[in-house]
Amino acid sequence: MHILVIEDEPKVAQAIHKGLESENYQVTVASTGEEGYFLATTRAFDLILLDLLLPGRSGLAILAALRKQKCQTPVLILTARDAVEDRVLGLDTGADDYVVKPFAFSELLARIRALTRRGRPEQALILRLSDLEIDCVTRKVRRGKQEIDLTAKEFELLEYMLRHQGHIVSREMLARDVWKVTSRATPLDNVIDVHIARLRQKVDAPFKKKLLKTIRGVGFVLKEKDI
Amino acid sequence: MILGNLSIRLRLTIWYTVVLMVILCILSLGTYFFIRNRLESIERGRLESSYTTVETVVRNSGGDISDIYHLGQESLFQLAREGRVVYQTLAWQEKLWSGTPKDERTDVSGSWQSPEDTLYWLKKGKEPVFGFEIIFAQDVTSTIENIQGLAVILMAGIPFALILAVLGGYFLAGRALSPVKAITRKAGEINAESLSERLPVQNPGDEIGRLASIFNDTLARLDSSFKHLRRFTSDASHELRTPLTSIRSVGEVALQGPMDRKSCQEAIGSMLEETERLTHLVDNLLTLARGDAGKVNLAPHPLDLSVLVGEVVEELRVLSEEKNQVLSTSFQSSVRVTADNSTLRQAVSNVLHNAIVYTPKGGHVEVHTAKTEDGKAIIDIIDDGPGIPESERTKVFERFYRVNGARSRKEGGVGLGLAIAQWAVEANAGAIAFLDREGPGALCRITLPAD
Repeated sequence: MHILVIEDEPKVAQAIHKGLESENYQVTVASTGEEGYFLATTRAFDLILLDLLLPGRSGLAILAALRKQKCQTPVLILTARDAVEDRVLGLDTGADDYVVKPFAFSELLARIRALTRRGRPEQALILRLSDLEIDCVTRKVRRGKQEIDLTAKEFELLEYMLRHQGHIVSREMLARDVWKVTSRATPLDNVIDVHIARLRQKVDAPFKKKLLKTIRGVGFVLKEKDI
Repeated sequence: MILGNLSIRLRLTIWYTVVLMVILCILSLGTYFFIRNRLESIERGRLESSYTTVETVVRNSGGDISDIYHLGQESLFQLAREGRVVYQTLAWQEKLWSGTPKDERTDVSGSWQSPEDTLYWLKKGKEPVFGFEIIFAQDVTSTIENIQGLAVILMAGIPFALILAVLGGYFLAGRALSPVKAITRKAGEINAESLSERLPVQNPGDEIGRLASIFNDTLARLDSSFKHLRRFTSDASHELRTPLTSIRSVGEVALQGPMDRKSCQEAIGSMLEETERLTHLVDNLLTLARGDAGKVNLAPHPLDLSVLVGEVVEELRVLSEEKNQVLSTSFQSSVRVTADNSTLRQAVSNVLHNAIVYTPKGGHVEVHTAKTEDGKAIIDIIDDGPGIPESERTKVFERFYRVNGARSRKEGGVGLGLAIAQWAVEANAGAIAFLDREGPGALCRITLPAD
């Protein structure tokens, strides 16, 4: 999987580069709009991460030019501008998704997975991790032989975590995808923390093997091994 | 406009000097011609009647004019027959005869000025009476002099009056505009640092006084928003610096300490936590800034208030459960409002979160919705926490404001929740306030226009 990162801020570019490489993606970084446009039109990539505020050619101009040339590579926009109009403009120009800076790296990864997975839907109805198993149809949860009772919200939370198992899930992702709250200025973080604590109480506490882990300052992860 | 560049004072002076000049000219001309006409017609009348007397005497004499001297020697007339003078009064002889060419004496008409500058008006009969041509003269010198004198007085008076008008006008305009001058000077001195100063208001009733008062009101508002801004800036920088300081010192200390995996994780985690706090703060500030700039597109829809509030309550219920609080609700059915779902939800959520956070463990929080008789939809959020002193009830909606001035982060927020709630409610044409309540605790009421 080869990803082109068009980002002029060296620290951000380097962090993305390292982070994606550690997730086994192949990464090429372009630090100007011109360079990015040249690379995007001359080589084949599976995904383009595009900053909007670039020196020289702006991100939106690059995107428009690429789409005009019938380049179908999925494009994920990175930008500090998060007004609804800006998002709409980006998506209208042909972007496939949008991540607002400062973003949680886990969220960027989740979006990249979603984009590169697109076209082959896999909505498994039974999700498993170690001896934890949930059935999305009957909404039953069991660990080993033992059945666990969850509230609706806890179930949704667990299902989301399981679909992203092995990957860190940030509070922002949970707020948007599980609680369906788009506004970022809400007191929802505390609510999420309480739900995670309760979920852990039910799913992890009575068992020896702990699956739900908190990554301090980042988010949560469902994983067998310790990090 | 030619006068455009001059001061108001000069323009006023010029204007009423011109107006006064026109008025004076018209008045003077009118007076002059009226008086001249009157005096002249009086003279003419006298001349006419004196002449008629002589003519009557001559007519009644039947051609014998030997008695004509009875008319007195002081009258001025002469009788001529066939171009030859046959009778002249003594006065005529003395005043008109002397020095007058002979041939003109019988053929006089109109007026005649003697070499001594005495002016006579003459009246000659249209037709001779019994062959006598009667000429009567009348001394009009004094009348004409009066008329000329009047003209002189008027001619001399107008410029004098105009000079007075210019001086007086300039002085009066200066006096009338002196408050403006004072205001101008004061306004020039007022800047961002001295916004607490006010313009002098000499007479609050007049136009300039009202202008100054209104300007002072504007200054007061400007002053208070500058104060707000200044406090906001200092609060914001405090809130921004605190996490930055933590990140920096945690990073520095970690670099100095042992670089094993556990302490690295500890340090990075701690830094990330602060980053999250910063992100949260910036998100909140952006929400407010966008609200201030009016850049938020609201999509008002009719919605059931109890459903929306109910959802918010259920969302936050876990927080009150963690504190063993009793979170009770009473919703009046079908209270419908037209509002933007997302912003209104945010407002209710922030207020309720606040109530839960400030209410101690085991306390009570109540949420009510209702429709009042005057067509308002209300949401009451009541807690039995410490409450808010009356003097602080409007201030709590200010950005970063905290009761007691405490800057503690123990409760988690940064002090923008209620400010955002207020913005969100007002964006939906509503109002939010903390009200009096019986017993301890706080009562926050959100009022919206009901459908």
